[in-house]
Amino acid sequence: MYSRRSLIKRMIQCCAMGTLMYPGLNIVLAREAKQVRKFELFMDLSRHVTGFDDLNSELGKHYYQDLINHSDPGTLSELLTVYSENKDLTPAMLMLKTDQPLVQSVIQLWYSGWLTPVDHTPDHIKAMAYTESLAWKAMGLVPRGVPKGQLWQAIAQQTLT
Amino acid sequence: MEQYDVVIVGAGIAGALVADVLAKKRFSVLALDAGPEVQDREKLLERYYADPSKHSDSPYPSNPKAPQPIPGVPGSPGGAADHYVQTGPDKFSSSYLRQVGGTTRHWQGLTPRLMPVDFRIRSAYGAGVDWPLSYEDIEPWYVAAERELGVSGDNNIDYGSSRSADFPYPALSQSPLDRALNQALKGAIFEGLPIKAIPQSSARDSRLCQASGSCTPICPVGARYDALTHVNRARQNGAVIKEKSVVNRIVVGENGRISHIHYKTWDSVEHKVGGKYFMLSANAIETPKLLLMSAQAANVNVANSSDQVGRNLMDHPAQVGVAVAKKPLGAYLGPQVTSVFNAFQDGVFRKERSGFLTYVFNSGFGYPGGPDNSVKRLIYEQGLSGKSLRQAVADQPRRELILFSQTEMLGNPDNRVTLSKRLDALGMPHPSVHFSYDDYSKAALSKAQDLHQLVFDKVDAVFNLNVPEIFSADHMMGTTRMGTDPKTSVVDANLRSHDHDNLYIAGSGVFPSVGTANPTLTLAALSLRLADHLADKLGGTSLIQKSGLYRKP
Ligand SMILES: Cc1cc2nc3c(=O)[nH]c(=O)nc-3n(C[C@H](O)[C@H](O)[C@H](O)COP(=O)(O)OP(=O)(O)OC[C@H]3O[C@@H](n4cnc5c(N)ncnc54)[C@H](O)[C@@H]3O)c2cc1C
Ligand code: SF4
Repeated sequence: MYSRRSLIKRMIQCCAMGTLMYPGLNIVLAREAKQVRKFELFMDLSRHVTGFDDLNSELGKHYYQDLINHSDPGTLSELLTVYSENKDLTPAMLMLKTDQPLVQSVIQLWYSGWLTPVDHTPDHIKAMAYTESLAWKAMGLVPRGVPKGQLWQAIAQQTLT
Repeated sequence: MEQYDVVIVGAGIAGALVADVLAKKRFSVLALDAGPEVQDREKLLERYYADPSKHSDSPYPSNPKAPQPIPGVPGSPGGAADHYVQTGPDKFSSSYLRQVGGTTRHWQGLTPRLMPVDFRIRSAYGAGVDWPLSYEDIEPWYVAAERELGVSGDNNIDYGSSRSADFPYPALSQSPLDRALNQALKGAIFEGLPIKAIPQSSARDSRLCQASGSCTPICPVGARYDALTHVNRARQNGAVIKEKSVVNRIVVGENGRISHIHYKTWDSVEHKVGGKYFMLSANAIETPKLLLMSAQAANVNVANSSDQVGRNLMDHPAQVGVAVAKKPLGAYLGPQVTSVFNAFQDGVFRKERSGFLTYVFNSGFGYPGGPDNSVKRLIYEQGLSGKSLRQAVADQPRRELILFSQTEMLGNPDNRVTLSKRLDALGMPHPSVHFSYDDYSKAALSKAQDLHQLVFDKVDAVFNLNVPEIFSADHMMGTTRMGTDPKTSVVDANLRSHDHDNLYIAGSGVFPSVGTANPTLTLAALSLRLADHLADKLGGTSLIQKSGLYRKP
């Protein structure tokens, strides 16, 4: 049996062996690591511009991909770079310093869950984008169409007090 | 050729109720429906969640083999109006579903009764047309319909229509928004009457409702009635229900009786079926369309010696008012509608103009979806982001208010459904519609604007608008009207064709005049009455007869 730590150690060894045997592999790994860093930066930026700290990273992956597919890659990359260098800027200042429509698209994605319709995103992901959309969370309500898990007669009574 | 006691065309609420009553009596019943039968609620819900545009058809996409209007903003491209070939002057944009269970699969479920005077509007006010039935004739059937649909309502409220039995379920609680409005409207008077939002009766089991607010288009917990309930019951009782079966011809045989009908399944195969009785319940657009297609195919009269088939098409033209109040009212919480202003429906003014019934929407501007447009405005117009956006979204949409005032229009023979040359995928014509709103209704729309403005002022609206377009209430009525005179009507008081002994029509197409109440409870009551009549004809005694509610038509 391997412990988790020994497994990771073994994986690193394998990777090291791999890079020795296949010189192209370290380029691939480096590119992937960069992608991961960029995605994390995107999530960080998303938290900053939406005002929500607890964002769903699975959805984030789809939103990030949606932006890569449907916005100018240079602009997106520049936005992430500017953000990484100016994390203390307010979202409004960040918009002034970068591409405002792109930042607004990021916000809109999270608040409404609207993935670009041309994408063949599976229905269950689009459904999750809606049920997790921030507009409802901001209002403190369960999204329309999702049972509240409580009876209306009781909810209405509670709102009386 | 297969034979049944009764062949029903269209398994919406009208068809399903009749199928259920007759199947329970052990008569052989076939109900054919043009649309698919989708029972899987989870699948429908996922479609609704997944569709960013969230309109009332989101879970029930149209199919080219049985096309249906797809709703949208009036006049917008791709809206319901595009389903029809419009010949003007106004656009007709009422929508309906072609699905087993029919349009109730996505209806709101609001179930007001007509008022007694609505049945004798000509005698009382000199406008419109009297029904060949009175409120008293129909009242027991209203009770029966309320039981079948599971209506909740407040027994202590005078809705202007006397009741001989209690509502089956207690009233749904009013929403925080209703209460906030009533608070703001304390002491307010309009046209000499107090303005008060009272609980609206609706086909919802108030003991199950979880306030998910998606009554249109889909109730996730099954608290809001839809006609699949009766489709399923009818099937359990032995009725045969066939999906994807589009009826395209009614054939008149000897003695003017209907001998059989033709239908096409979605694989384009033609079928025939015979019966002792035939009932058309395909709604006020598709039923006249089918009669006209049948006449065209054989070059004979089919139920149309009066030339009234397709004529007198009516809707409840509606004035929509929208406002943003100074303080949150509580929008986006609760069933989409829980209350109504019903004091302005009737009065001597009906000699000149219609009354109106005003629904208060809890849904905010996002009906029937989320607050996306409001959020968009905050992001793009007000440039908000981060915590300030979050705070604004918590506050602004909850101040939104929609008032929806529906009016009565009068029958006009020129407002009519005919056949167009545009064909669907099975080669059947799209309906062509000639339509114009009348002054009777327009005068009431203008009055409703005044009421809306008064309410908006009382909630200190920071924004308000009476939307300039006339909205459809999605209530199609009048195209196969009921009457005593075969020269001016299509069916008699038993809903039997004046021309064919064994042909019946159910649905709101038979309404000679329409009041301001939503039509479905009334059409359900008439359908139950018709089922009883057919049971009688076929030699049985229906369950409703046994219950003592029945009075022979
Ligand atoms: C969004 C919306 C909300 C509504 N809300 C309310 C409300 O709150 N209260 C209210 O009273 N009313 C409401 N209505 C109206 C209500 O839904 C209708 O009055 C009611 O459903 C009509 O019932 P029906 O059985 O006569 O017709 P439908 O429900 O339209 O059923 C007709 C059936 O016939 C089938 N059919 C059509 N053509 C053929 C053919 N050629 N062959 C075989 N089958 C055919 C169709 O597939 C359909 O299943 C609403 C409507 C809409 C669109
Ligand atoms: S509010 Fe929700 S649970 Fe209640 S009837 Fe409407 S959809 Fe069903």
